[in-house]
Formats: sequence, C-alpha cells, structure tokens
Amino acid sequence: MAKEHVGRQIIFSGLAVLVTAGICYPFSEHIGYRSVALILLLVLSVLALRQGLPAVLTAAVLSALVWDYFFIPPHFTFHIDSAEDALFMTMYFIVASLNGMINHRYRQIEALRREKRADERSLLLYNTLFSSLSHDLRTPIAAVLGAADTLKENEKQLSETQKKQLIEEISKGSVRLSEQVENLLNMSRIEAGIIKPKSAWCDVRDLALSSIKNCPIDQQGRSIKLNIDEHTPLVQLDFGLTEHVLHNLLTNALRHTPPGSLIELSAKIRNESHGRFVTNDQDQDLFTVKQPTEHFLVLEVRDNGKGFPPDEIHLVFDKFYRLGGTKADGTGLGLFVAKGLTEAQGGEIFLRNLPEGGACFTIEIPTTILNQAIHQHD
Amino acid sequence: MTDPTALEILVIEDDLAICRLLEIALEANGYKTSFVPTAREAKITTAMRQPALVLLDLGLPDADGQDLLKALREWYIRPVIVVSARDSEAEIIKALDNGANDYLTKPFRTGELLARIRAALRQDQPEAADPVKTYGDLIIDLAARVVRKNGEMVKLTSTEYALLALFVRNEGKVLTHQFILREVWGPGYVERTEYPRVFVGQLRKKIETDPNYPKLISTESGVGYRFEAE
Repeated sequence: MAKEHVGRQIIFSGLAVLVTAGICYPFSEHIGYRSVALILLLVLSVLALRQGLPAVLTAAVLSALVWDYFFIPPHFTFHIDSAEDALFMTMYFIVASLNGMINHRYRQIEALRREKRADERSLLLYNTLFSSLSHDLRTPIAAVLGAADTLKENEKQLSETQKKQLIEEISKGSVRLSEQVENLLNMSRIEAGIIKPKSAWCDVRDLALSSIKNCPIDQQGRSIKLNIDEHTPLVQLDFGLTEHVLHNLLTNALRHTPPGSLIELSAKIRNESHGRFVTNDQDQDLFTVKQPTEHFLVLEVRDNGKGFPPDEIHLVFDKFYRLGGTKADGTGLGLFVAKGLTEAQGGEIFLRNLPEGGACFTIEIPTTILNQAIHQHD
Repeated sequence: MTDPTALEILVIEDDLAICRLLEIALEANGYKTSFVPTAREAKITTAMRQPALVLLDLGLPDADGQDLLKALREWYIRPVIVVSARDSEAEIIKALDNGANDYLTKPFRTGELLARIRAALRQDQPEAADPVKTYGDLIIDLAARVVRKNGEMVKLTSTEYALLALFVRNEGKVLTHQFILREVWGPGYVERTEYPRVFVGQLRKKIETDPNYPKLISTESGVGYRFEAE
C-alpha cells in the first residue's frame, strides 16, 4: 500500500472518530457516557471493514483517549476514577483493536484466495493457448520431416510429380515455420519491453511496397490495392517496425478473407490541432519546415471479406487469439505483434467492421512530417 | 563440376547443415566451393585461394564476423556477401559500412542468394569501356552525362544526376543512406537524412516506368537503396 494512501486513511479514520465524538458530546448527559463508547465502537467496526490496519489502530487509540478525556468523569482529564470505568476503557480498547485486526486478516486471506483463483484461471488459459501454439508449430515441422523422410526412404518408388509435391510441402512448411518463429521472437521482444524504435525519414509508399513485397503470392485471386496520395510527405518513424505491422495485417487479411477478396492499403496524414487531413501543395520551394502541430500517420488495411464477429472484436489483439471456428495456419500472434509494435512507437491500432461488410484495421502513429520537398536544392 | 574456369566461392560458416546446402546449391549453379568454419582459417584460406567471392556468416566460434570482415577488407577486394541470422538494421548497416557488398538474413531463399551472388560478381567485373548503360527503355550515358527514357531526354538536376550515377556505378549493391549522403552531398550532410528519400522519390518519377511501383531503385527497409536492372 502506498504511503500517502495509508496517511489519507489515518486522517479519514481520525476525523470520523472526532466527528462522532463531537456529535455525541452534547447528548452524553442523556445517553450516558458508556453508550458513547458503544457508538464509537460501532464507528470503529465500520471503519475496520474498509480501512487498513494502521488506520483502524490509530482510530482505536484516538477514540479511547477522546472518550477518556471528554466523556469519563472527571471530564477534561485522562484520569479515571472508578475501577469499573478503567475496566470498561481497557475492554473498549481491546475489542476495538481486535476488530481491526480480524478484519484485516480476513481481507488478507480473501485477497490471497482471489489471487489464487486468478492464477488458476490464467494457467488454464495459458495451457489452452499453449497447446494450440505447440500444435501450430509442430504441424509444419511434421510436414517438413515427413516429406523429407519420404523422399529419403522411397526415392526409387516415387514418381517425379510426387517428388515435386513433397518438395513443395517442405518449402511451404518451412515458410510457415519461419513466419511463426518470427512472430514468437517479436512476441518475446514486445513482452520483454526491449523494442527501441529508431525514427528516420520514410517514404510512405516505400513502406507500403516493402510490406507487400514479402506477402505470399495469393493463389485464390485475392489482391492488394494501394491507395496513397503521391504528395504524401515524408514522415519520421521506424521503417522496420511499421513495415512489420503492415505486413502482419496484410497477411492476416490474405489468410482470412474469402477467395477473390480485395484488400486495400491506404495512408494519410492526420493533423491533430486542426483535425483535418494535410496534403501538401506541389512544387513549393520550401526547405524542411516542421509544423508545430502534431501529426499522425494513419494507415488503414481494409478488406471486403466477412468482417469479425462483433462480440470478438475486443479479443482480436489478444495473444493467441484465433477467430472462432477458423482453421487457419497462424499462431494467433500476428495481430498481437502488430499491436505491440505499433504501441512501441507510441501509436494505436483499432479494428472495426465496415458497414458495407469487411474489416478495417487502422494504425495511428505520431510522427513528424517533412513539409516540403527540397526540389531545387542544387 | 570440374570446370577449371568455374569461379570459386569461399563460405565462412560453422554450421554443417548450411554448408552442405550451400555446397549443393552453389555447385549445381556452376561455382566451385570451399568451406572454413573459423575466422582464423578464413584469413589463411582467403589469402591462399583468392576466391572470386566470399560468403560470410557473422556468428563465428572464434571471432565476431564484423571484425573478420574489417580485417579481410584491408586487402581482399572481391565481393563479400554477409549471410547472417542477425537481422537488426544497425547490424546490416555496420556490415555494409565494414565493406560488405550485400547482406542476406537467415532464413534466406536459395534463389535470392544466387541472384545476389550473380549481381555481386557482375559488379566485380572489370569495368567495360562502354560508358553507355541500358536498362530496358532507360539509357544512361555516363560519358556524355545524358539520360534518355523511351528515346527522350530526361531532364535531371545535377544532384539527381549525381545520385543516379552513383547508383549505376554500384549496380546491384545496397547503398546505405549515410553512404549516399557522403557521396552525393558530402561529409557535411550526413545528418540530412531526408535528402536521399526526397531525391530518390524525384528520381523515380523521372526514370521509372511506373514511379508508384519502382523497379529500378528498390528500397532496403531501414537500410538504404539498391539499383538493379531486373
């Protein structure tokens, strides 16, 4: 518990005791000073339900002193005349303190129990996820090993076509493995918090083209369309990380949309202070002027597939998330990694379903823009 | 396989599986191969055999590949291609600065490796006297400082021309942003990292058939550019 927090609790409890005592004071003649002790005890019990042990013990001591000083005759002294009052006073103090301690202990046990339950839940979750992950890693290994063994042991019986098929299996399995290992490595980088973005000037179109370059060639007629204004200024960000984010979003779309789908990658600059899109005018002869306002590179990957089930959208960026009922060959890490790498650059990533169908991922990364080209520099 | 004119490639690599794979792939494509697993042997073998090209893995048991690269570069002038599992941009830039002609990260595709080897060997050939280079419909006359696209003169500013000439002289090779800045603008400009991006963009608009999908000048993510005729 934070120190200030304890301090605040102590002050609050002390005030509660003093206010109660203040309210009781005018009536103490009528109700008797021993009833006042019971009222104070009640207040202490209520305090013990919510406050920490130091606050409750402070309140117990304070209330005993206040009761003694203001209520037990002779008034305005700490002196206690009768043995009965002394006993009452001692009992009061012990009951008040016990009350606080029992409550405190109970809350401790409760917290431990909750923690344990949470642990069990996350262990269960982890086991489920881990088994799906190990399945996804072992399947391509099995394909590669199996194909290689078959080639090795049945070389003479196999036809040329069969050999080619097996070789193709080895090749495909290895690519899958390589992608998954890449994502796993990135996942550990993200979780270890060791990603240090390196900002440098980037041509947004270059960024988009690089992220498309390594996407698998689609056999089922899916295509990627680029939609980037040619006057989009240079932006400052980490090229490699952003390329990786886009690549993951694109492969995800290629993998999960129906054959023939159109995937569109677009980019624009959002200007925070004016809330409008900035496109720069052509051929102005300005040098590298940075605008004082904040800029964001907004990248969108949208498809015309089926979109995500609305109740699963909030889970999409979770580690090992897999769209219910899909039998894709990913590890469920691609989008998690995309989010992690975006956030490592201070950016944000969102997913929404489009009204016309399909899904749209949006990435916003804070950036600096190069206002104008350096055209006639020479 | 016994072609005496075959070019020899020295592979500095300590992983046996990769060596075997490279041996098969390289010999199937008409190269002679030799293999050394340590930096110490690499220096001796490179000096003795004078290979046409060196493939270098950075993670060697007895030394850091970057240091070996620097040492080799003191006297070995033929192409060196780094093949390494280290994939950080900083490591790639360092290797290129240390004199590597190219850099490939593991896992790599064999086809890609062979293409890089061919490009590096081509570049290493003694400069043909012809100063006129032809890349599809683009003709660059380095002697007359004239560039034509589809037969028409392309008007380039002097900076754009200097940049293009630098690319042409280093065809197939990755040029880091810093290298381009030093060569085209001069050592005082190494901080102006936006210049290469802006001018490559302008150059693409003038020489690429479709500037939106550049084919001649490709971007090496976070590292630099490579000029390459398909």
